[in-house]
Amino acid sequence: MLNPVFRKDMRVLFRNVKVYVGLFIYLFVLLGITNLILKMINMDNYNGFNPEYIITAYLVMLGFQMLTLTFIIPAVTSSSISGERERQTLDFLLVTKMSGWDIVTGKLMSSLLLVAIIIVASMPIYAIIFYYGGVSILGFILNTVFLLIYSCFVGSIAVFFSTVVKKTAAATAVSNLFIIGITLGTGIATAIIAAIYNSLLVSGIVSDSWNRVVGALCMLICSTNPFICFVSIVDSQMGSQNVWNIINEMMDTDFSFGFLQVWHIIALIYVALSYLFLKMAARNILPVKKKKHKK
Amino acid sequence: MLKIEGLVKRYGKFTAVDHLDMEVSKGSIYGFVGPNGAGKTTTMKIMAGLLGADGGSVYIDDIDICEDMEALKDKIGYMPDFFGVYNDLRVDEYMDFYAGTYYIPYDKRKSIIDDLLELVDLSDKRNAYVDSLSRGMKQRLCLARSLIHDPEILILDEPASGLDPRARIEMKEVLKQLSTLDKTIIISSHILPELAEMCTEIGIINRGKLIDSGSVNEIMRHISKERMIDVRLLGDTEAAVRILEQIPEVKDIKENTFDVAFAYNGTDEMLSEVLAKLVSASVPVISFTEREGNLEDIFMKLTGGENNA
Repeated sequence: MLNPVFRKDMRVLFRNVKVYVGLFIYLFVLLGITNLILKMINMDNYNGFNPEYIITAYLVMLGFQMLTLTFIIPAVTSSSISGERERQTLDFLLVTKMSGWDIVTGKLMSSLLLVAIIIVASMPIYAIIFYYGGVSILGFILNTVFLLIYSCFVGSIAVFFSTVVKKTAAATAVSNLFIIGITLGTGIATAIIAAIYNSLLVSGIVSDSWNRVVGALCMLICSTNPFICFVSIVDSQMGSQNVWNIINEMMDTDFSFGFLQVWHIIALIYVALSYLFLKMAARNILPVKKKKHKK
Repeated sequence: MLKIEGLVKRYGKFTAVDHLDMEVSKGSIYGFVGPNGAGKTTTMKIMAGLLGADGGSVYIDDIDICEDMEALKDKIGYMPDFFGVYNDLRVDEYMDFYAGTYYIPYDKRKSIIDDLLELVDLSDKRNAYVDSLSRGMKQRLCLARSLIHDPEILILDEPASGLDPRARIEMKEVLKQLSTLDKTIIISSHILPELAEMCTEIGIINRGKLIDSGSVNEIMRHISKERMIDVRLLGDTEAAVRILEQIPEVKDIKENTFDVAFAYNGTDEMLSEVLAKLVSASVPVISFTEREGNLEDIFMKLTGGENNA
């Protein structure tokens, strides 16, 4: 049986004129960007055509899509629980047979549906790029899968904050701040850890035998960073392993996971974190936590 | 069927429900009366599993809801005092959604929804958007929603609040029909006096405590020791109050510009002496009448004359 919350939200979503207007604006902007890049390429290539420019165009489109989703998803999803609360319908949901997990996953699925609509709707624009060649279909499919995983991660954060913060506007703001915090914070944290470790190495307080441990820690912290994630996708499209090399050089390590790119690992971590955020959200909405009260 | 033992709920230092004990037998219609802030909604929310208790237990069929609420979700239908609806859905879609939340198979939903919409007299509105319904209709739709899984116990918190007189009558008719469905109904309402004939039991709650409970007649008997007397005067209410204050059987004197009301706990002979004392003291009495008791009066007396029932 289809998740009832998802089924209902799907119905409401397709009836909402704002969705179609928003989608039209989004596609219009994406088309504009694609057109602009292609024009620039044509201006730069009187004597032939360089596939690398097409990859650049593709990556700009992908970056635009990822950036847009980073802000669209919290805007849509952060109202998932707080909106029910504001509408005074949450109590109705909580007295039903649906578990907290079913409710929050239903809400997340509704957001992912919107993401799927955006991705599918933008496919004809991507087809313009495919016409020129240079971008593999497999690469595109993998990127689409990643966008869905990334959306799932951002959506889970938004659902979580929607259960914590009572007002939708505040939940959206906190979710966005959290994503920005992850992007900046993890970068700064990695840099600080690396700097401290290097100074300790130079002063002889620690030996370089810790390189792998500190390197792994930095990797782990970086693995939640959407920007590094995007750079890794660029990396994989270019067929290089630059992100690995940067991290290895920074920490003087030799990490390598064979065919796995950084974004593959990041995707796995995003899946794990999404699960964690959803579990916490499901627990948060339970009106009565399972613990024995004092008699 | 439902048994509450020593239920306690605190919000900081404020005790909303204070060691509440009550019992509701199977198939009964239990009227839950109390002024605003008495603890009715809190108690009902705990019963529905929407609020944790700080102490005590709520048993439904001998299962403690604090221990195993999931097992009881099938048995309870709940309608809160304030509620919202999904305005973007049609009436049948709204009902279908809640049928889904109880995992009712798709093929069984249509007949259930048809029956419930007929019960609440909304069959002709099944294709209308919820947004287009009047408040009374929304309230009835909400009642139908709480019945979607055919619960054994129905908890209705102020089902007629905010309704105009016509919508109240319509809601009352639906509730009358519900009373024939052999369900245990716990209802709190401002229109409880109007519903008195259908309530088999009544519980009066004030400041988180159950003051009295039983059938309407039982409670009437408990309270009938005190009678309310209304005295209309041409003026000089102060003199009347001075005299009444000296009589030990007279309590709760309320003074207005041209009348005085008081609670009297004594014999008819002594009451005639009260009138004689007023007249002999030249208090200009126009009328001296005993007020007829009703459920609202009982409630007002038991809750110390606080606001709405």
